[in-house]
Amino acid sequence: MVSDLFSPKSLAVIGASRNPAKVGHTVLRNIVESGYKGRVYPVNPKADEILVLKCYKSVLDIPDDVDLAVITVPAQIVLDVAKECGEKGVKYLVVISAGFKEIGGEGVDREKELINIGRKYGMRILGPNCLGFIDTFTPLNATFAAVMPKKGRIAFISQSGALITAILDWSIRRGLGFSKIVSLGNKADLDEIDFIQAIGQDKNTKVILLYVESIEKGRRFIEVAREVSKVKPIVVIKGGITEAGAKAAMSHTGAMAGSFTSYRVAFKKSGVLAANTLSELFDYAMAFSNQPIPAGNRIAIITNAGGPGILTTDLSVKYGLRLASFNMDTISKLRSKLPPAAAIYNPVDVLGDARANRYEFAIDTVLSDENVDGLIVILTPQAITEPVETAKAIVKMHRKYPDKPIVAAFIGGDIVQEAANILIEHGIPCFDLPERAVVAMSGLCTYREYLEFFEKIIEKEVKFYDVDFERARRIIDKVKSEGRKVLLEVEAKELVRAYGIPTPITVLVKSEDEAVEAASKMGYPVVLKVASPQILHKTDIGGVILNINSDNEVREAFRTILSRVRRYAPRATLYGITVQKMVPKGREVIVGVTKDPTFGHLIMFGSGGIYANILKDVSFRLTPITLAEAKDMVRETKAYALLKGVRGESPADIASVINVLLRLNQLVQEIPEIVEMDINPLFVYEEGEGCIALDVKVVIS
Amino acid sequence: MVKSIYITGVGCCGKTLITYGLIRKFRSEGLKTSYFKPVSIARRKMPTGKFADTDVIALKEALNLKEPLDIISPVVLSERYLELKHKPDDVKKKIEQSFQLLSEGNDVVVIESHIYPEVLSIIGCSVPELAKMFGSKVILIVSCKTEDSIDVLVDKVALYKCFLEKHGVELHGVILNTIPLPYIERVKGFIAPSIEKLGVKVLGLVSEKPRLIAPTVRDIAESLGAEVLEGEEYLNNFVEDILIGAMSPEAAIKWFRRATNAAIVTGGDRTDLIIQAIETKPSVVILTGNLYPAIGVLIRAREAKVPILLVPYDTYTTVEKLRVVQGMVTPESLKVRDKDILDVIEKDVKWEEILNEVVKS
Repeated sequence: MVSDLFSPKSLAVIGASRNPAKVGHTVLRNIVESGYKGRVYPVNPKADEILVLKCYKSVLDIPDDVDLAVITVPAQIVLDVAKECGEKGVKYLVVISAGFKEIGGEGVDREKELINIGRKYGMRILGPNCLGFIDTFTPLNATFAAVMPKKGRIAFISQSGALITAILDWSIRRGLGFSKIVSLGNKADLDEIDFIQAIGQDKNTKVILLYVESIEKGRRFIEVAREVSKVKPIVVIKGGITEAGAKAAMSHTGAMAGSFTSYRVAFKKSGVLAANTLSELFDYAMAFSNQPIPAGNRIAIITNAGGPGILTTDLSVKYGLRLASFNMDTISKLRSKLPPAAAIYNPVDVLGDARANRYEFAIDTVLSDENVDGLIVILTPQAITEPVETAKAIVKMHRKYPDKPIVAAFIGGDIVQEAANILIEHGIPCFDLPERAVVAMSGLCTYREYLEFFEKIIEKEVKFYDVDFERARRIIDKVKSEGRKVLLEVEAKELVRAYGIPTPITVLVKSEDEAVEAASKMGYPVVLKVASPQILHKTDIGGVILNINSDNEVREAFRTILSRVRRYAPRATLYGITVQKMVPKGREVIVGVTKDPTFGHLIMFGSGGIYANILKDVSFRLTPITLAEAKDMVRETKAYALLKGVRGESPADIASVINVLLRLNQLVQEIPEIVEMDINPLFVYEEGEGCIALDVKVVIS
Repeated sequence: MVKSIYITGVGCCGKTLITYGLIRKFRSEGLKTSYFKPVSIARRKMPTGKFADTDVIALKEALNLKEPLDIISPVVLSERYLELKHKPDDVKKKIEQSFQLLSEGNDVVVIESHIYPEVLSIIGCSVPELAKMFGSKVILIVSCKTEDSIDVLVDKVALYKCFLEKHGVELHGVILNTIPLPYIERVKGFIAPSIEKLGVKVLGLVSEKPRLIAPTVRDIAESLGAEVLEGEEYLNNFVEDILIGAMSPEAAIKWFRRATNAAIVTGGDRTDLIIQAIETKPSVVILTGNLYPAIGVLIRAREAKVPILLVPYDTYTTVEKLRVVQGMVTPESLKVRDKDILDVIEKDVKWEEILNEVVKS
């Protein structure tokens, strides 16, 4: 288990230096000064003693066992040093040196070789090109950072080393404490998943913060983060969410449609909270490190000024919190003791002349109400306000009601500083502005929702046994053997039909005669459609002709489509024309799948038809989805209202749509080559009458 | 006199590939077969300072021909060639002598024409006149990949039949080449019989096979003068499709995923698109505008085994140049596709009939 990394019995610093300007010196000094209790061996062939420690020429010369080696030598000799460590039996390497994959060319090969050495000797490697790691409980600071953080309950894992040094410096002033800090570097071997797993079991950590630019093993990330999220919250900030950002981070936007990104879907699936800004990340962290998880999202607000109270109320609603309705006891108690001008309904305004005792009374009263799950206290410094005393009162009340989270916003600067420090020292998040308090509270509530969600989806995945896997497999294998990536419409329809999704009869034809024959066999009316892998939107070029009722009309439509294709898409490769039985119109929805390179298949549901691309009324879930998730997907969209029926319309067969989603879910898991799939439109008929896939597009890899 | 077949046709109709295929087939049947291109186009300047036709260079190398270039291809036309009218006898003599040399020790000579059969009519060296001189059987290759009505092909055959007959040469047969899938029925059921009715044999029906004319990444790199930034070892990949990456990544992915063996052309600064492109494993990613990509891009490309080329041109020019490369034949591409070409000759072309009639006559 990677957790051993944080508490080695002995360690070597390879490349330790007497020169204070060298990284090798800083690392050794940080280790010594952090109060590390284990044995420390500097290694440097040119020195006898560094920082009063005996220095060794090589790691092989060290008489005792070495658990961990921190390597700071130039990249060119890292491989030799790593091999020596392997022979010595070192368990963990922290490679701080740069000059690996990040420089391209030879660096890529060097990193591969480093990984091989690690595998060969069974050594796990952090880095290369990283800052190192810190554990404040061991204690051990194996980094070249300038500052040692305060002890605390927050673990911070970062792909950016510089971000760590900056945050460390900043955290001192904020009074924020850390349990562990890990700089991932190039993630040659150990990555965020290993550390989430290890720190998940660390009793000194209450919340895990993560900064990443890319996640390589998406599926594994979800599996591990899901398990850990059930125990403690994980908050992530992902660099490169926008296109421009992704360019800088050289990662994916993962953008699938509009603002949806696979990262958001993945984080949700794994119960990981996504922070949008660094300030959000640490505001969440402050809340999670000492406050309890609320039982619900009904919050109370207590303020000594109207304006900030109103703003906080607005923000709370915007962030998905609900303003608690007090019970009668609370209201009458507040009314009896507070001045007549005070607002006694939520938000509670204790007025500008409120001293600490009035705050204390209000907090006590409100928190004793079972309709209140959490509290935001707002304080603005006015003439007779007692910030410090009020802070102490809040601390007292927090002790009295340890199960209900309290977040404070002491708006101001110098006047409230001392009070804010008292709160933070006692584990109550205190912010300078109300929006941050709301964010912190909403983080707590979102995490609770995730926990509830996990309970809800404990149910097993739905599995269909009436599917014809062999037939589906044959279709895909045939397409592959012909070197194609796009399935013909007839093939795509046969594929989904094999998985129990109904489609109209469809035949691919290559001549007018064949078209007429097919049409009269299936019976009129029919639809003719162009079949070409390069024509994505058939209607755009007039490649679909509906409501064809006779042999002659079939011939005419056949010719019309061919001539349109020649005119509007002359370079497109034509497979022929598909003849399809025309079916009665239903309510149009779209169902689809797209494969994200990191996280795998995303199932999509939304409003369908030719306006689908414009409406962008879609919901996404990562496979595998459960029945509960499929239902949620449908309910999240506006299409749901349409399916339920508008203005006296009878409801459509929503159950059949959910059935299709679950069948697709199974299809893409059993045939993972599918990278893209669209059923648009899926006609949904009235309740009990099912649905039918009118057009199916499938692309494989 | 040696037996000879004269392969002619208008424009890029597949003359070179069919010529190559016939020679390979005849040789495998034990016939000593040679290649001759009396009139060709100056497409490349050789180190000697002389101009040569790339098709000829390709066939000479791929077929291992011992004769020097200026025998296989005695007359190389540059853009301005009307000046030749002052020395018609020289030209004729040169062609005749070359043919004589190529005939020696060979059973059959397969002759490939200039892209226009009528070229050099002014000095009596058009296809029918030369065919008469060599006593060759003329076979016309017709490409069915036309943006006009497909039925026009029959009239075209009639026209060239007239042209040949005017010089007293018979149009021996026609090979209908690159037939797009949806037209196969019409070509087989209607167009081929109409041509036969003109008294011309249909000696082959070849459906469209994009892979046959697809250039390799190496061909592209050479003709674009591109710098290979990554993936030297994957330059034998075929390029069957050209895609331009100029849209947002979420729109682009749909196109990238649908293309097989594609060259994806985009700017070196479009890191987002390049990364997305690499993930769909195209044959090559071509970066334009001499914009050197971010280092991370090259690392990804190396991992994904996708070659990356860098060219100085803008995207439009690059694509234009790629289109030219697509019609070019190189020795490499002939060797790599040798089996596929022979396959076409064996399955879709009545090579036995051609052979029997030539040898018989």
